[in-house]
Amino acid sequence: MTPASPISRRSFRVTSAGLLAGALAFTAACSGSAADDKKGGSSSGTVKIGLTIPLTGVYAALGPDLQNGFQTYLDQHGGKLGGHKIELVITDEGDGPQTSVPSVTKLIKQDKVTAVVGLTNAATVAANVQVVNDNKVPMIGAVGRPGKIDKPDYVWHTSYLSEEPGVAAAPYIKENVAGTVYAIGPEYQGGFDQLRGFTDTFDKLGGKLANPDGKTKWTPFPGTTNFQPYFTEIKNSGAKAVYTFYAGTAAVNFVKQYKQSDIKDIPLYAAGFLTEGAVLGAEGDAAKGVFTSLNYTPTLDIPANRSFVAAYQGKYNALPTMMSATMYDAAAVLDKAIAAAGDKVTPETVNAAIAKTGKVDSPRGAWEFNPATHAPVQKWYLREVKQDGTALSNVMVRELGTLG
Amino acid sequence: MTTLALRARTAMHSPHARLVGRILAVAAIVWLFAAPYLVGLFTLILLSQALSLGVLAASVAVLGGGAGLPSLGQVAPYAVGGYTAAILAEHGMRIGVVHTLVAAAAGALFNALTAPIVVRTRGVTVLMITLAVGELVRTAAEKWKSVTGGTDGKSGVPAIRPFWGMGDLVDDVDTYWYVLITTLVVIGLTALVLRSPAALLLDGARENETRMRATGHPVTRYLSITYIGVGALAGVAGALLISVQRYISPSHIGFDTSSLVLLAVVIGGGASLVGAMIGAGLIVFTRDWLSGPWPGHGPLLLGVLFLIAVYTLPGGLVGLTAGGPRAAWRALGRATPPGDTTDATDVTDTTEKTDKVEKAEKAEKAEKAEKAEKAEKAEKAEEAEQAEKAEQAEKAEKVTKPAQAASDPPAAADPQALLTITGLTRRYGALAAVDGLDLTVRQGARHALLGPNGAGKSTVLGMIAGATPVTSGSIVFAGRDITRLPPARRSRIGIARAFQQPAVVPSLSVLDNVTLAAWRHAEVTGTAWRPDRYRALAGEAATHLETVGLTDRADEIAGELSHGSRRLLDIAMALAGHPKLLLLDEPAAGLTDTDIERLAAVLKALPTEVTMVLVEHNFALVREVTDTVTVLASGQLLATGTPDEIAADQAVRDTYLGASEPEHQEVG
Amino acid sequence: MGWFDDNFIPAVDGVAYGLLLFVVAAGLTLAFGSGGVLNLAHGTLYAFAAYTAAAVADGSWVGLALAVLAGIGAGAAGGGALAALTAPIAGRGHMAQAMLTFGVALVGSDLLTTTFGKNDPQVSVPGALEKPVSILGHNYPGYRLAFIVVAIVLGLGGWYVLARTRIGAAVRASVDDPEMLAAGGISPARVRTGVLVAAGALAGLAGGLGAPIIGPSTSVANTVLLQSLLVVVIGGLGSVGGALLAAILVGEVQTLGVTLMPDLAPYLLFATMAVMLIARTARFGPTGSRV
Repeated sequence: MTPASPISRRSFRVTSAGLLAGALAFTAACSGSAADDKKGGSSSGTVKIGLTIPLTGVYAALGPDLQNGFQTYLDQHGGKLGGHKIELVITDEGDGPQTSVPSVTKLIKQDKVTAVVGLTNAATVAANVQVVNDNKVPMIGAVGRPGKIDKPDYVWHTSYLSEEPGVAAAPYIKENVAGTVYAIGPEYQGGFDQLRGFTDTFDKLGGKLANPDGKTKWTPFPGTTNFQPYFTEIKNSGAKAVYTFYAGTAAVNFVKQYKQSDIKDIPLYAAGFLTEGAVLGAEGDAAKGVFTSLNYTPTLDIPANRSFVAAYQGKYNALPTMMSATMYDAAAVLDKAIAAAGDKVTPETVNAAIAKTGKVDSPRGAWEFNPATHAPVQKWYLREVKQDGTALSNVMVRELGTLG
Repeated sequence: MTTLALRARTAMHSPHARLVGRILAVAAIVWLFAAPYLVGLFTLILLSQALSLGVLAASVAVLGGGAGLPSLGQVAPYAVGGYTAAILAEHGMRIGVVHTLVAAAAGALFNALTAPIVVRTRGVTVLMITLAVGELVRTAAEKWKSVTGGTDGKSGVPAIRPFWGMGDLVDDVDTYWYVLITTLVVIGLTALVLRSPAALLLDGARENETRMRATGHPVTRYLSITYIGVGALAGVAGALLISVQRYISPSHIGFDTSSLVLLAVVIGGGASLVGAMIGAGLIVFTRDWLSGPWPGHGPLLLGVLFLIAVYTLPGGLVGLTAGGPRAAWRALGRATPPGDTTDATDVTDTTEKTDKVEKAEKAEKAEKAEKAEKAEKAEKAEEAEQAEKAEQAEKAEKVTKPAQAASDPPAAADPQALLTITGLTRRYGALAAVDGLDLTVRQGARHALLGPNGAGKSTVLGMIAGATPVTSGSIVFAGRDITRLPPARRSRIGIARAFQQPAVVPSLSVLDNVTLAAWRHAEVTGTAWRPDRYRALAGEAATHLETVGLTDRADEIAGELSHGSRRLLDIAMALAGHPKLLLLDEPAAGLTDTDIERLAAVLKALPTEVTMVLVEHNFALVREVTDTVTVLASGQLLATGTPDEIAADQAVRDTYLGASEPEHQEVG
Repeated sequence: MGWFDDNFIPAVDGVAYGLLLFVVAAGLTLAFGSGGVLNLAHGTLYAFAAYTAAAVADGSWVGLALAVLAGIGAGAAGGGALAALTAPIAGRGHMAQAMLTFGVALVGSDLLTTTFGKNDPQVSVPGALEKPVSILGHNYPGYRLAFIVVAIVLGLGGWYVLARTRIGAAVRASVDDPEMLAAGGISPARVRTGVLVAAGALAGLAGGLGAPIIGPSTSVANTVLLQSLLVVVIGGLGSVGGALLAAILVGEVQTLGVTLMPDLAPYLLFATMAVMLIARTARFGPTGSRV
């Protein structure tokens, strides 16, 4: 070994002392030992609930809708669910599993939350199913729900199954469109499920797709910002209508570009997210006349919705969206389940109680969990974007029946 | 001889870096073993992820800091390894050891396929081409849905078991142990390889490729082997990712991951494995752990980490001992930090050098105007290229060699001729640097080439050595046509070269330099992996240091030698190949009188079986050591004769002897 | 005619995209070739300008002009900030500076969403440009068509200044050999700052004009950075003509490529880049002296 020079020796000591101090500080900060880690739970007092919602990435704009919906319920109930004070821990969902798996893992392992709520992206849910099942912590999704979950033991959705917007819309489109329909969507789990709901049902009803190969056109996700080239193909296919599913930024780009293209006069049908919430404001007049199918519309005239919309608008100065409503319902479900868990609030007791929730009196009307899919049995609505006073709104056209 | 001690002085193991590396490694390993009892579960899971990413970072460190190929594409074999492991698990093969081995093989195979396009590039081009490789693999992962699961990736991969008969890894602590042990094994193996004499070959290839080729080293082959090796390492990292996360998707292998890993390496300190691992750890914890209180702001924290690292750690973590952060802050005040800040070699090192070369070239250009100098410059760019192509040719040649040997034309008429040059021409566009030169060098001759600046002397030497491509004409050496032979091969058949700018491997010791030069010419084999054989070789090589009088400086770092000593070392390196033909390009340039005396003595003492071709401006030296002089002008032969005849030749006087000035700027 | 008719709109759109990328890439080339900074925050400068433009634009023609100016200003200011940040490490080589700019890009993206919000802002352009325009019987977004015209005018103007004026000659000389300016008595640090500000201004110009086409969003910085890197590498460093061709190529691959060969299009860009690099290595040697 070559001896180090005196100078480097001195600074070396400084360095190693620093590193050692750092390691110690780090160890202290990570307090607790993996060997004797317990599950999250509480017999009384505060209950921790984790929210995993998109704070970055293409769906970042939806984050506030989700968080505000949950918060609205908490505000209405004195910050308590089931008699326990609630502490919210928020983590980022990002663009999908790459970010969200560590986030959900952190909520469960480090924060030891009683339940995980949120999760917009169906792929996020799919990747986390195993995490929550392994750790026996309930996960209540409020938006995207992958079509096939083998063991939804700890997985619940207050939203819908991702196929359902398409399933609900297909009969109406079959009746009202004289000709073929072009199906196009984003190339990821959510897109596959959403579009499959439409194409399978449409096919069963005897409808024909306009796509040249008879299959849905997939656009790269999340990278696609320019839809012009796809519109050319739609034009060339001779479609009489288009069915799609986009959300967030992609929805804005799609709708705005649609209305400036060769196919601006072809009727556009979609799952509700295409014109939901902030997205609709960004699309502006380009969204006029777009038909969407969804389980909620803020213009729904029932008492539960009126009080929800009033509370939400009062605090956030914006109309709630479907995501706000489903998060509101997730809080309602937890409220009932935590109360039912009684003295011993653990993830497992809460999960067991969720199964026995019964009817939820929701802003979208009463619904309950389908015991097989763990998703709501609920009514669906067809909506059209119309001028409603000064603002654009998703105005209800008709009911599309009950699914779930 | 204290050769093995010298090993500690190589770039990858400079004393500071090595000492810190060791202490860090020991401390880190102890802490890692204690971690399950010290930290929470989530932290432990993050540690598992950090270890997996750390193995990937280590592969980038070896490639960038070791072989000098900074890569943004190691995510490709990483992905290949990861998807391979996931697919194996889905098909029922769930043994961790098998995963590790198969993923390593898959990663290595992938890099073996891409090696031909990557190892021929250098500098920024490597970054770009590896970026392309990485992005293409990511695209394939997105599109090839049936195999990779498309954009959503593969989730719910079944848990693996480390070995036959063991239980499934579902518990986070068990998983951590598995990942830790696997990581220590592969990183330990890698460290062993890097401490073997073979690592010297990478040091040489990274720092002075031309010199390595000129002493017979097939550099491209070394780089290819390294590239394939780090492919295996990255493949293992991919398999580890699967055992930790049981999930993989294209988002794991994008530009983001590539750049994070490269930055982990830079933070860690270039070639240091431990530094890279710690860098990866810092990144994982900054992004996923520190960001807890500020959800969604992980990237912000990462960005701040990079800013701090760039400003305060010029040599990376292991470079801390080069003066510590305070020195770094002081260095901020200086426009250009002193050369030794990069002592603990990091990726910056390579690029920096490129920088300097570029600047030097530009300075040269600004001054210039002589057309021949342009030629010289172009030559340099092509030198490496030629070497490259030639090495390919060499491979092909090996197959056809017997046939060719038979069909070789008989050597030139003169039976005494060692080297016969016929109609040799080198063109740069319209400009002929050497134009139809005929030249014969007798066996045992002491032959000088003279001529004014731009006469094409260096170009002729370059063509004889094989570094400069021949436009037309032929070179016959010892009865064999070598016109198209690669430089490394010419070195092995007995052509050695000392460069106009002394070509040494700056971070290695003087003895290591000369040992490297002897390496491909020695009877000993297996030098790369056997320290004892390396020691033996070094013992032999030391005699060449004695010849040039550098014995007592054997332990010094070559880059720190004076110009004159470096020149002598360069010559010693040329001699170490036991050449039949020694090419010397202006050996006296920049030497003190004492050094010139020493040089003259060395040259006069050359054994008669060594033939010498000397390009030199110092006519006194030429007179002293040569017996034949050829004068070139504008790439053509002007006159040939004894030194005295030439000195008396009026034409030569007119064109040349009147003006004598250094022909070239120093170009690094 | 049928084939042409079917693919006409994507082809035109590719030109619009390509021209936009060309402007961005010009800044990237300038920063690297002349300032010596491989600026991985270049996409962030574009995003900054696009956000700024979106905030300024109000749907009027004056608003549009102001938005473009604001974009240029934002980009130039960002370039200046980068020059200041990289100045202390200017002597440490490409890698250290690239790493620094990467850090700046990460921090910058976060600051942008914090400042401008997570809702991707939409740029209000004058009503006349909002409407589709009919060309050869096809509808095409009016703004994009106007952009193509403006970009061509700007390009020709830029070419005239560069190729035919003394200022242009000085700029070319400085790009060719930055040390020449230094020899002329201007301090290298100021040349460097000037170059980075100018490069930032180009990103800003692109961001201001391009905001309605490649709009401000959380992911736009990365997209624009990668695509302009592609343009620079495919086109060859320092070659304006090459960069223009490469930009159009990259644009067309993403538009025409999507309709003509949807399965191959995603691979085409990086495959082209790899092929160009290999070809150039074969020509100029592996020294990497030409990117």
